[in-house]
Amino acid sequence: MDLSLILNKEAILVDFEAKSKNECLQSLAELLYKMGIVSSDKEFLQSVLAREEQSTTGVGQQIAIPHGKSQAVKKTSCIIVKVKDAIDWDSLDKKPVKLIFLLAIEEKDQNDTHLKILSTLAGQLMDEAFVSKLLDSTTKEEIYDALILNEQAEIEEQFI
Amino acid sequence: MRKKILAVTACATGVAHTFMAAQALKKAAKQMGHIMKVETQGATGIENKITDREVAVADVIIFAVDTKVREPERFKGKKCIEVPVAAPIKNAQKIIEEAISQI
Repeated sequence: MDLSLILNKEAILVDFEAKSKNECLQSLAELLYKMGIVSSDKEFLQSVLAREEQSTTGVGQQIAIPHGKSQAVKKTSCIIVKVKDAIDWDSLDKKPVKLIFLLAIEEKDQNDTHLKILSTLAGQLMDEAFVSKLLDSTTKEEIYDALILNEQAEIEEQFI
Repeated sequence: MRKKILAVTACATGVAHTFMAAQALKKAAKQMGHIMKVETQGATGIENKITDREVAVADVIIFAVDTKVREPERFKGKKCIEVPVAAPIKNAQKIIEEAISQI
């Protein structure tokens, strides 16, 4: 999986401070705007918040994977944030969140490769060993390496 | 007894939860000693598509979906359960147990 297609080290943040989920998402939307990934932080934020309203993206194990699909997204991307103090995210396991994967998805992304990378990444977050490695990482480099080096173990057996 | 379980996962955006639920189900099934195949219906289309032969031999089908299942006619007449896509992400083992109780 060539994660480097959608992720660069600049898009990994550590020791990020935010008091609440909304404050966190707002600052990250502004950051995406500054990085030139979205054309409007407000419009992108709206799509992310609308998705949060449907059901929580706090998937447990201190991970949240908020995402917005919007015309404001210029290039399908992902930013990864390790927060300084855990944030309440109304997660499935009720635990506060330490690691946030924010996905910005182009409204009409014709490039399956980008979406495939994001989907694979999402699936990998169900792997406890991988998640604890990420949670133990303290620097951008450690997180980047853990992501790039991780390979999904195939767990499927022959059905017939 | 080792069961043959099929699952279909789908969520609104079709990028994150669809694939997390699929992984969670596959992992839990393996731990429980069952055989599982998961079809994902995401933004990139139907992947790992379930065949008619697989439907024929399956004991039960799990639909972990927040959207309408695409091509549902394939599964007609089979025992099944339907849950939100987040349910297996939260506790896949419980969902598999629920499905098996339908057999």
